[in-house]
Amino acid sequence: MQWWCSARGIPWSWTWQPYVGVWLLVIALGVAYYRWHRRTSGAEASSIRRWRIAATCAGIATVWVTLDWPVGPLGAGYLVSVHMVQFMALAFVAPPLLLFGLPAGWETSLPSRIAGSLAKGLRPLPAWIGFNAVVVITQLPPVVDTLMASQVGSFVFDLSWLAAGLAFWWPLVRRWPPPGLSAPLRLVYLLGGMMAHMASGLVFAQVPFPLYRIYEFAPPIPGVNPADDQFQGGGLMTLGDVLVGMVGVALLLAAWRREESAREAAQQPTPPH
Amino acid sequence: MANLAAVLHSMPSSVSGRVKVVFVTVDPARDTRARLRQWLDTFEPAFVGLRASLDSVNQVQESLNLPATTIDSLPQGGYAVGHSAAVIAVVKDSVRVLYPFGTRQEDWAHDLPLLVASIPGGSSP
Repeated sequence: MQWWCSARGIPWSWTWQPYVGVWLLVIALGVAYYRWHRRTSGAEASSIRRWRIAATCAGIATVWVTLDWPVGPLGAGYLVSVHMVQFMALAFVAPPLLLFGLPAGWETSLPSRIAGSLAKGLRPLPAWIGFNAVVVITQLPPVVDTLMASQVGSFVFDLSWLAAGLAFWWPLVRRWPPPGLSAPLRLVYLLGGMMAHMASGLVFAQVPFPLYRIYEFAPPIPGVNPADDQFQGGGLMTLGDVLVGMVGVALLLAAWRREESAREAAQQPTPPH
Repeated sequence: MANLAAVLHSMPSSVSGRVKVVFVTVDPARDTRARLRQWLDTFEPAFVGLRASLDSVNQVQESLNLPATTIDSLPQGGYAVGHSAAVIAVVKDSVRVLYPFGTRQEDWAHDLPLLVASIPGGSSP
């Protein structure tokens, strides 16, 4: 029995398999969020709290579905296209949901030493550089071929995507410590941060032969050719980046408009009584 | 076989049309003619399958300095077949290159046009 999905080199089977490590991660996330939400109960309007709880549930469900059977083992050792979808789910979908799900003022409830380290590490520039470094390093064939062959390596891979995604989305979703990025800079940060991933998606769609040995020599899944699978993966990456970029830009523009409206309202002279 | 088929499908017919892929089973008891044909058809219907007694296959393997096929019974039932997974490039009855398991599509794409070009009257890469 495996505790985390990795490439095993055995023929693919639709027989369910348990991955205890994934369950422990999901349970740990669920317990942590439950405690954080209970601690800050009543601090926010109930309508916002409901949205935060929904985002938390969606974020944890995304992590679970992405890492557990069948998506986890398919992406770890059989189909590079699924591996690429896993990246997008862990780095682009789950993190903004999990960050939005954190209660307001969560950062200030942390011990001061942890809050201080977070404030330093999650500034926009280090977060942006760190995210893109993880994107580039985890696409390199020697890194993929080496790490995906072991459970520990695959675990490091998946958690590095999730951690890098959380760091990348932090300045956009949490905007802590203040003052944070200005509205136009938030747009530049988002679109610029997705460029490396989008470029690698285009490369995958153009390279005629499989880049990764581990997927080229994976036990074949009938009807799937490794080169075609890589081409489809590159297409999915590009499409996913465009979708995430569009949704992200739409949300940032809406937030910008709200901020401008609030600023204008604050500047209106108070009518005489 | 899947990788070889994928590369041949990506090559111009001046190359792919001059390459014959012949698969020799090392488990003739299991791989009946029909089963072999069905399996090869999943990659490319033009691939040829060969069956012979294991002794004959081992003689050929020995002449190519490849390890003989071994068949071991498993304690839980069934058996395991130990065999080489090499691909041997033969041009005009002469062995040119022995490709070990793990040869990548990129390598096939590089070598196949050169091997075809080495056939007397073959097209240039």
